[in-house]
Amino acid sequence: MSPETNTALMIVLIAAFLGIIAFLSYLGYKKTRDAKDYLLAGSSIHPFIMAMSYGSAFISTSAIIGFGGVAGRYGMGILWLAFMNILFGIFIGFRYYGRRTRAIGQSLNAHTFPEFMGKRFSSTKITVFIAAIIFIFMPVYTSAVLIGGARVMEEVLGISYSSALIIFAAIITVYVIMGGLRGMMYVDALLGTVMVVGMLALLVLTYSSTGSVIDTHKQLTDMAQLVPADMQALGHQGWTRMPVFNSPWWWTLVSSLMLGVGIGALAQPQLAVRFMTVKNDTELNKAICIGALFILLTAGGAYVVGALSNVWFFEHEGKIAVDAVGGNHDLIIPVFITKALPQWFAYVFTITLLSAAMSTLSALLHVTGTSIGHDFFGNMGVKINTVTMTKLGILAAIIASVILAFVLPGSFIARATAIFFGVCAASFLPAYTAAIYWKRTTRKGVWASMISGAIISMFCLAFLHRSESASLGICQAVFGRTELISNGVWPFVDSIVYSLPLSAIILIVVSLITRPETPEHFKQCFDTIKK
Amino acid sequence: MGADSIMLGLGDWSVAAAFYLNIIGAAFCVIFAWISTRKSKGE
Repeated sequence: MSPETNTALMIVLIAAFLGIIAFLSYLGYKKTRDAKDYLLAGSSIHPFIMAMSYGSAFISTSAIIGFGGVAGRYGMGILWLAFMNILFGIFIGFRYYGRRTRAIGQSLNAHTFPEFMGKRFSSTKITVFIAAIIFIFMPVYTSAVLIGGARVMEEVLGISYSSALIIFAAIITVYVIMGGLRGMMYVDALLGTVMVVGMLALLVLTYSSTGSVIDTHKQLTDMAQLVPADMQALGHQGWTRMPVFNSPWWWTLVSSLMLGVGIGALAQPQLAVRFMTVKNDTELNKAICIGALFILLTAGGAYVVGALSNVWFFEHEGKIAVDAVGGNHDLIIPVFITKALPQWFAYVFTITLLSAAMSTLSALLHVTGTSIGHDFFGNMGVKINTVTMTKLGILAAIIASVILAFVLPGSFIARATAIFFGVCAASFLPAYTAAIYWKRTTRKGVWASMISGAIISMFCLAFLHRSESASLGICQAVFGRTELISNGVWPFVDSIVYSLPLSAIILIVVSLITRPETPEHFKQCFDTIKK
Repeated sequence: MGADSIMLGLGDWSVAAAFYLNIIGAAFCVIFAWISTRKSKGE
């Protein structure tokens, strides 16, 4: 087929794909009658739709392309992250956070994560603070995912990056604003299904292009002597082995990826709100099954394919993957797909990537919109209808994200995800956990934990953790060096290792020395939780 | 069956363990969901 035919075929495929999305969004719009429908999908979503929506909001283009590429560089040790995603993101998330969040949220009539926290501690200021944190940091993460989707459209449709960005943002804005959370979750179920099919096909094609499962692994193991000296110096021992214990790469893999992204997922407002969309605990338990299989096939699949691409690149080009793509590991998965797999698969994979980007973006935009419209201005005395406020908030969020997508430097984009996850984990996770489990938690304890968590993690990002501090340039401007402590492995230890425990300790200490909430309030919060 | 096969041809035990734990973890979630659904139907 000629390039013109390929582009025409791709345009037809994408148009059909967008047509189905428009139909599903319309279905959501038709069933949306009030604010609860718009913000929480009426709390009556089917467990399959909820799990697919949670999973597809969680796994974005950067997870497939970015982390798949990281696997091409670091190797299969990153499979521990996929396991953490299943254990924390799905099982512990749904079973131990989801049940209580749903029960307490319904008792308190909370529609969003900031509102949930504010009502749990009888403080609209907490709601406003969390909404502000979300609105300040979420667009940075949103812009990273937006750029990923726009780059795919630019590459496939042959249009300029600016046009791709505007078109992509416009499509998502329309279906998020029109359909509310219900329409979005219907669309997410479709996008999630596309992602599972696409990633499963990618995994099967990758193994079949390099040999049987064990033979392919053995070939990759035998390539250990090809690890370049500079990567060996950082702790790399081969693509089927963990890095050397306590080496810079070991800390990056364990602290930034496994802990930062693995545990950080529990404190993501766009994911937590989905727990409140199902009818009962049984529906949540059913969703665990779908969610776990989704993560196994999408995240696990991307990490395995990224690492195994080294075998194909070495066999066909005589180079390891990262060298074959000129050192930029973000290109490993796209280049591998283009060169190693059949052309028809490039079309399937394009739709898979667009699905991953759209589902995450819609979730981020909806939660930022509800935070700014419903939680922030709604509590600042602005008297406009909740749904209208939220729609305006979504519009503000997309405008902020598009502007950021135009102005942020390329090298900063990959860091955006780490910054958002780090700040969310340190600011929200101890407070959120205590909100649903520890009755002795006080409002002052939560304030102290959230503020200290935000400050400590932002300080670490700006002055201690090299990959962020070097990108931000604040430490360089103030102290004339990329990080304050350059000794040993310190520049590679992620902020979550100290900001999260410190935030938790501060919450416990301050709660124990301040006055507890009233027994009536506990009764309202906890009485509906099934033992 | 040699240790190499049990380890799926991977270079060290911790990576092989991660590979297996992903599959075991997902299978556990499927079984958990199935049992809890059966229990709730019985109630």
